[in-house]
Amino acid sequence: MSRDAPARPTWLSSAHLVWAGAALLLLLALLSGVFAVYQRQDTNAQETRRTQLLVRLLEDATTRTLDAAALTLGMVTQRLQQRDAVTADLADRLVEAVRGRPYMRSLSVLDTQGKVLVSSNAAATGGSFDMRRLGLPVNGDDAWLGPWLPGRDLIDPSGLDGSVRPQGTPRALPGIGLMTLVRRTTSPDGQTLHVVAALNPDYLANHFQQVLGEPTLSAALLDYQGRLLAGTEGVQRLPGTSVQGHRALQDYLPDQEHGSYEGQGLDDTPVLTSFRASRKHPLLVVVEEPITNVSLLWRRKLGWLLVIDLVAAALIMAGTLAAWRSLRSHERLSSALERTRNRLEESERHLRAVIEAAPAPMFVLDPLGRYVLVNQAFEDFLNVRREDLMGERAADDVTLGQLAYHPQRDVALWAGAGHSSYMDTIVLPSGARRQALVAKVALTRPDGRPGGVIGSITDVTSFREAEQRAADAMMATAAAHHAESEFIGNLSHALRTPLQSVIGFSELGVLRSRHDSAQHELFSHIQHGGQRMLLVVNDLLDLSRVKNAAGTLNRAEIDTTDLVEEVIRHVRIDARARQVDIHVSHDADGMASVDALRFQQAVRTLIERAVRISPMGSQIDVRSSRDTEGRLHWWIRDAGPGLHDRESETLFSPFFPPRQGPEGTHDRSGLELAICWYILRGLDGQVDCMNHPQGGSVCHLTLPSVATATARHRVMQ
Amino acid sequence: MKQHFRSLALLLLMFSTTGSTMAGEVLSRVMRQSELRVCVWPDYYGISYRNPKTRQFTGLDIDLSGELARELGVRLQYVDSSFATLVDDVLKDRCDIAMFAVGVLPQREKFLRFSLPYLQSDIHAVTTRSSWVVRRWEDIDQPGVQVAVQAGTFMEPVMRDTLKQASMVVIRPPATREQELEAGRVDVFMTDYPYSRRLLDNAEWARLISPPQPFHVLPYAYAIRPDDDEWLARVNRFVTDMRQDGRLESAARRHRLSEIVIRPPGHR
Repeated sequence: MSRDAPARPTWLSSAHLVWAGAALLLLLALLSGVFAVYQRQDTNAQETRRTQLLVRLLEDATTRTLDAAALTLGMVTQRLQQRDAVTADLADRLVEAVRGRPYMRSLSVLDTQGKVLVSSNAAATGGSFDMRRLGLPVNGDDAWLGPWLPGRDLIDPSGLDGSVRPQGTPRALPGIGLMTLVRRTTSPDGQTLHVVAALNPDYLANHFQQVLGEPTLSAALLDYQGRLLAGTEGVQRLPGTSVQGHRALQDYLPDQEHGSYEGQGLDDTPVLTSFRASRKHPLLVVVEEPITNVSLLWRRKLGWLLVIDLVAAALIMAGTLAAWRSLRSHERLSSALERTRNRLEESERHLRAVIEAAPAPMFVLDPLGRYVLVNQAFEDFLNVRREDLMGERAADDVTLGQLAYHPQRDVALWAGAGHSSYMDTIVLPSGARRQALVAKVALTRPDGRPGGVIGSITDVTSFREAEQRAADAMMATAAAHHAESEFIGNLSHALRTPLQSVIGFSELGVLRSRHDSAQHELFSHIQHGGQRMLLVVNDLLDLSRVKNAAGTLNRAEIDTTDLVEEVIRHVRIDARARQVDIHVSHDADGMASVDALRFQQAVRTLIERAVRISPMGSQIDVRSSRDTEGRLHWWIRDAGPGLHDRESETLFSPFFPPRQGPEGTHDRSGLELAICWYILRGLDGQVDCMNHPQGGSVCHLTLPSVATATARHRVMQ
Repeated sequence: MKQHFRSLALLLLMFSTTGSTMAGEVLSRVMRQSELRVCVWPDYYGISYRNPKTRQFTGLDIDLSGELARELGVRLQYVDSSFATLVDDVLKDRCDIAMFAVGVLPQREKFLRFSLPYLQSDIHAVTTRSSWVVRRWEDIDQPGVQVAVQAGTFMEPVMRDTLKQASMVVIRPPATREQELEAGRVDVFMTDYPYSRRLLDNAEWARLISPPQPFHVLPYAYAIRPDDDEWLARVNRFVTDMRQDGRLESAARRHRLSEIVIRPPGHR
């Protein structure tokens, strides 16, 4: 993230988000709780309205039923007010009237003593009834509702008290009882008659059941004395029993004839009760709904709320988790970026310090070629101030512009690829011209675009000057060597001609002075001295050739073993004379790139040396080997006295002639070993001698491998 | 005495009609006139019920009689009948067959021929849900309990022989068992399964009490004249076929009478 990205608000953190999620859940729980309370109240109100509606219907049906019964009584009383009303025909009328009224068990006419004059129930006619059980009329003309009576009809012995019940008559079945609706009238002959309708309270209970339609609700009919007249299936109380302290009767009636409340029901269980008093009769209709049922309805409504809550809670938690993870990831990323930025800043500081501390002038350019960083050495070298350079292209300064962009070398560099390194001449503000190695490296951004250039300047002016001086010295040395060789060559040529003459005349003098011993000896000395001098001159000439002919040797790949054995064959003649045996062994092939004649010359020099210094009866070992780098070694060991101190260092010097053998040598110039050394050098090899631990000395020739010699020879060519 | 006279008259009627009817005449007549007259009791809910509001017949035997007419390829004509007039209606050729779940009673078998049975029902009790007197089958035959039976039904002799302590009340028209129960003059009435369905479907206050074990299972069949073997064979073939091919099961399921279907052997 760049520093320019919009800053995240400080409050928007993962820790705060957890609290925000918890707060949302709490709010959800709070809202759910409020909604649940509201739902409970709403359910209560709804059920209250429902039970109120039901109780209104039941009360209306009850009142209408009693009104219908009262109307029937009115019709009968009208008939009784006619003359000769109580006839058998009346009984049939009563039967017909009862048949069409399922709530009515019987319809009877009684006199004031309780004798049943006529009844729809034929079995009751003639029976006797205790009129006190019918209660008291409200006024003379209206029908009144009597109390609940046990038994199935007015004349039902089973409904009588045990004191008056005939012997052997069983008690009325539990719950079997009747309500009476009574109307008093007077016959035309002045007889007071009571028309009594025996009503079935169970009919109302059945009707209640039909209206309620569901088993959870129950309804009951009570009189004002709290006696249960009828109850639906759910009322676990026998009809005829009293409900003590019913709240509707105790707290509401008679002032308030309808209402609802929560409390103990008929079965002493918590219920929602709606009650309504009959608008004409002293009856109370009650509808009860168990609170458990209300709670069940409430819980069903809450089921959806619970589902919604769970979904909402899951969404909140999922959202919070997702946001928390996102924020955590963002924070971790920000933290990582911050750490990376710090590391980068630290690296940049280090880089600046390193660049600053570098002795070489260094500079950093941005992608637009502007100087963004230079070190003190740069300032000192170019005599500029970094404050004047920063952010500038320095296009006006030829030197700075040249440093930033070299038209030939920096094309690929500024395209963002690779590096460039070139020698350049930098003109300092003082006008001095400095040779410098300018090295630049392209900085590439992660997306591959050029990110700038970092460069350094190495002032090589002094190195160049030293290099020039060294080259001049080498040329002078080579010239001196050449002059020396040429001088020696010329000198040798100049000496050989007179020497030939001296030798020739001395030989002639030897021949002619055979009879004069003194002259003969003199000429012999001159001849020997001339020959020795010629030998020296030849060797000097040979040495001069060898020194200058290092690159002109006729090299060829050849088996040096054959060359060595050929030399040994020649030398072995002298060796036998000295009773010295030469033993040859080969541990490797002898292939090498050599000039055959010169190599044999060098080998011959060394073997003849060994023969000369070896005592009689001794053995010379000649052995070849090859090392791991392919170089060929020839070892020539003698049994001589060995080398003196530091002799190994001067043995091959032309200025330190080797020690002479015990017999002295007159056929050697003393330059053979030096020539040998130069031959080996010309063959890219080496030669040296050293003492052997077991006595004698060993001379060691080293020749490069064929491949190395060939490659070097090509380079030389 | 009155009943004896009635039985004698029916016997005389039977003999007189037997003499005048040839074997196979009913089927020939049905095919000749291309009409099948079926006696039904239009108040038999679930079996042959005529909806007083729409005057449309519905019920198991309405469906099956339609199937029989379709098999015969004739029109269908319903003739109002009842259990009280059943014998008279069939023997006097008011109808060709009585199809309203007629209980196969010995006294009916004296006058009529019955097809293979296709339903069977036990005797059930109906009381009110608010009743404290009768709540179980065992509560029926108790002192003081008033048990109603419809006059003329097979329940009347059965209950008369069964009840030892309770009082049996025989309900005769125009009184009905339901009215007597509603008025509380009886505590329970006995009926068969199809009739009880009507009450349970229409009266929330009614409660059906079934015997805990088979009490008096009566097969139901179709009734025809006693002297027409060919017609009986044709009707029996129809009954066998409809029991086998699922038409009976399907119709019973439609009218919620699956519990009393007589299924062919091997079917449950």
